[in-house]
Amino acid sequence: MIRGRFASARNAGLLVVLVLGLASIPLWAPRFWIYIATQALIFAVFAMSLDLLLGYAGLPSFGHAAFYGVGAYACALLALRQVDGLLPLLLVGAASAALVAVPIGALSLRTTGIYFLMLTLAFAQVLWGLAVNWTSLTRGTDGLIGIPRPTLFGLDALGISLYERGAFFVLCLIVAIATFALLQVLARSPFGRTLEGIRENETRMRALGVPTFRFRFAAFVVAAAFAGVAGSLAAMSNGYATPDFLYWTASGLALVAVVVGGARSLIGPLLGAFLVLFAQLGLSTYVERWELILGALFIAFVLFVPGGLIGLVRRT
Amino acid sequence: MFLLAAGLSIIFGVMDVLNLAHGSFYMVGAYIAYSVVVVTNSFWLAFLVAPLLLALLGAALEVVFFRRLYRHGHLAQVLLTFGFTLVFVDLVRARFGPTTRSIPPPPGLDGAVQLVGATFSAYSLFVLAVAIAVAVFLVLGWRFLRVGAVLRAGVEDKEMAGLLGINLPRVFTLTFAFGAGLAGLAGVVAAPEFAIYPGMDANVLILALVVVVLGGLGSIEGAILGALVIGLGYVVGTTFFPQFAIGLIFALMAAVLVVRPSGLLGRRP
Amino acid sequence: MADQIERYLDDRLAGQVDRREFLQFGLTVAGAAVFAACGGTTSSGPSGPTGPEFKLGVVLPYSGVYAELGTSITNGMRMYFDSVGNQAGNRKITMVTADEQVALADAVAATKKVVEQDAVDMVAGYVSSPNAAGNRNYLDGLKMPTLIANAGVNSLSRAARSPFIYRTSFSNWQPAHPVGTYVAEKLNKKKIQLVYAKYGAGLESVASFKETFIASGGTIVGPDVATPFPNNGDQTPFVQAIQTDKIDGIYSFMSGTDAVTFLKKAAELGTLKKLGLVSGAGFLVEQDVLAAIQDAAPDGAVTGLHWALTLPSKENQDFISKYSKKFSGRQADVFAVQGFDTARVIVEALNAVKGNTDNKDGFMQAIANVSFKSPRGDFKFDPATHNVVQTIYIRKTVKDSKLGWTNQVIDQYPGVADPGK
Repeated sequence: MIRGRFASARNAGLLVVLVLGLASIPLWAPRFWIYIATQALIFAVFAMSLDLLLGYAGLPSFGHAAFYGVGAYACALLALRQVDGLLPLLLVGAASAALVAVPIGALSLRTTGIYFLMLTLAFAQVLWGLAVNWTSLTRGTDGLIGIPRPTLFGLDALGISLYERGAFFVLCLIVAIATFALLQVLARSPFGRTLEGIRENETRMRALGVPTFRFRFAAFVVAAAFAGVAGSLAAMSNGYATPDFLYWTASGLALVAVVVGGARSLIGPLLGAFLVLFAQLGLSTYVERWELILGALFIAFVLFVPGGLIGLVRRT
Repeated sequence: MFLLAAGLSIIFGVMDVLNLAHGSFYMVGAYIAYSVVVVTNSFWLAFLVAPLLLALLGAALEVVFFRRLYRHGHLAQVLLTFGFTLVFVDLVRARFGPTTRSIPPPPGLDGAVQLVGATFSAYSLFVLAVAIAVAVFLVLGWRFLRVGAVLRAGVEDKEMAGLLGINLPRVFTLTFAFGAGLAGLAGVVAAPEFAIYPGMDANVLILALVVVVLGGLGSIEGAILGALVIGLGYVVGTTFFPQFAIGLIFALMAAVLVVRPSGLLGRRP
Repeated sequence: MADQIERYLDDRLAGQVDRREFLQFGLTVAGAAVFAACGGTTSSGPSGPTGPEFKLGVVLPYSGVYAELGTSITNGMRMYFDSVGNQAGNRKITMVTADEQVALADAVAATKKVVEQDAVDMVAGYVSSPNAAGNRNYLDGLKMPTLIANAGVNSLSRAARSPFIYRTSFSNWQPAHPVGTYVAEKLNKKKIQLVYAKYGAGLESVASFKETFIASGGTIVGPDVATPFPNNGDQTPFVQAIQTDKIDGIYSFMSGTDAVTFLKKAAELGTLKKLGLVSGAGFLVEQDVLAAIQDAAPDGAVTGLHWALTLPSKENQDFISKYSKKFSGRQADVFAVQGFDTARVIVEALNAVKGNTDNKDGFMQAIANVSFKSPRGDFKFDPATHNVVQTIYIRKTVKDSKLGWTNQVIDQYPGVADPGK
């Protein structure tokens, strides 16, 4: 118990340091690194939503990018049709992703383990195929480009806009903190505890009269909604949405972020997202043999840091 | 396709290791074939050498890396093998460059054949023949050879097999080597049929996964059936919806898994 | 909306430019010694350039499926810059490369890296069309002088044209357009089936061919054979969809790996032999493809492209031999030529403005005015489309006793310019 409290106090301390550190980025970092950090934050929201499934509910989804992509496309399509307003666009991203998650979840959750993994992958790939082929709506592999960023509740009259240096970063930071807080509350709530119970011993929970399927399903849809938010942020931030958003490599990268960071902690995936994105976007623009380095990094991680980054932090 | 899936299925089924680097074995097999053909001009030599080398590589990787990981679960394996795919693709690019390579089919198999009114390339038929031969060998071996019995025991119940005095680590190494060898064979056979380039691994990996899962994990017959279904699905798909064939395959898999959650011939979980 | 971006970025840039102009002012007043003391120059010996370094951001793929193209273009650039001592307009030229990869996300990151982190004076590169189009607004908004060294998407010379973006390679329309006329009129083949990889470049190329082909009395026969892009599966069903007995030949757009697997399968199945004519955009049978498929090559294929290895001009033969000497035996290809010409445009424009790139309009005007004899023939820009105006060569695939499989020039259409709409 004491240990637990100590650990959570340390977690809280870590969190404060992390948030302050992140918030200061626009003050000192060069533009390019602000951009990378923005992308990392968006990716972190995505990875944290996956952690709800993977870490807490024990559902290894390999198709989480489906919801990220759906959110991005929904946001992009509306923004390109002159729909403005930050909150409506984010909500649309979340809602559309959640909506798509309903049938996918209903079907996928009949399976577990590796079959669940493959089934979610299959659905995501079907959606990817749709994005590539439904050219009249999605413009195929070329993707939707030129997506404007929304204005901020009339604040643009005061000269505040999301195009300012660091502004979008701050927005993403706020969303990331909100996501973290909401997911944290969710994970600590009876709902989250029940999920963990189901993960550990489903038969027992069912015997206790818990409608396990419904709990999993709810977790699946909620995770999808957060992934949708991340997707809409990505579309706004970069001004494009392409089928790559839905491709299995995006799902894989999110899984990697969660595992590298350490599942079931929410902070872990956040750290993991930063590491992966910095490695991928940062490294690849500097070194030619970046794939080799990244691959070696993963291998080293699995061998030497099995608990992920968060495990490393906890141990020291 | 089937060769690849069979290797993957054996590794996964027997060892419970989700090996994303399997596509890399296939790619390396194709590049070894390319190197051998360029140097000796003999496809048949490559046909022998590549699976052997890949089996050695597989065994080495199993002993050095995977052995430490069995208890860490699937996700660690996914990450590890994903790391390997990146390393392999970059090594191949460093050694051979990014250029697309290709080798011609061996003499005698480079023409077309008329069969029941349709034209097939002789080499495609050869690939089919190899696949059937391997399939027959595997099915029979699986059922009647001692190794097959040991492997089956491993699939069914690891602990029990261990108690029966089977040297599990060695069986695992051999299994992994065998699976990698099959992937290498697939690489050689595919080399004249398709193009050889860094990135060919990722394309084939996902399809192989689909075949394995569709057929049912750890079941040789399942892998055969899965390969057939996917192959047919792809042909039908390309005929009617050429652009959406890949999507169709995944839809097919989703449908099968929804109806039969452990694949066509898989054991009930 | 786009205006807003532009306005914002303008403001940002204005601040930067002011500083530079101020610097330049200081330079003229106080002389070179003071400037050197301020730092920021790289002087290379007594005869080296004394102006500020000119940084060129090169965004090209060095990994993924297009890595080969990226390498060739970079080699071409390096070769030209080396040939002029890496300087022009009294400024030392430095290349800063970043990996475009395949996906737009990576191309955007690479672009931002060279622009924001390395503060380059100019950007060049882009192999894939979606990546060029996806970075267009960003570069245009920053008024960043940009040369597209490969991506052929027509819109960059049309609706999405930018005053700051010029293209040294081609528009997808260009290599295909004369082929339609040639096939229908000179070869008198009037029944053609279309075979193409279904993505931007394939669709645009085929559309351009159709324009001239139908106008010259040709008919398109049968359903189009459109392969997925990239096609990682078996090509057999697509090869078999070619209706050899109903047509005089095919027009095909494919490149790289797709071209290799398709042609090999067509050769094996005997389809190539039954076809009266294989025509296409030159990428179908460029040297990279021919080197991979060897004797499965479509003998006598007629294709259009803005270059051929066998062009006898002195510029070309010179280029080919020097290139191969410089890059350990590597054979020159059309992408290397594009890189070579891209570098030359930069050098000549820098010389014309005497190194002053702060006046963006002046520098862009200097780029627009560049014209020279390239290995590919006469090179100049179209002031209306910002696209290169060039000769399109009609080439025939043959097996040469010295060069192996290659393309022989059999006709040419000089001064082909994108229509701009």
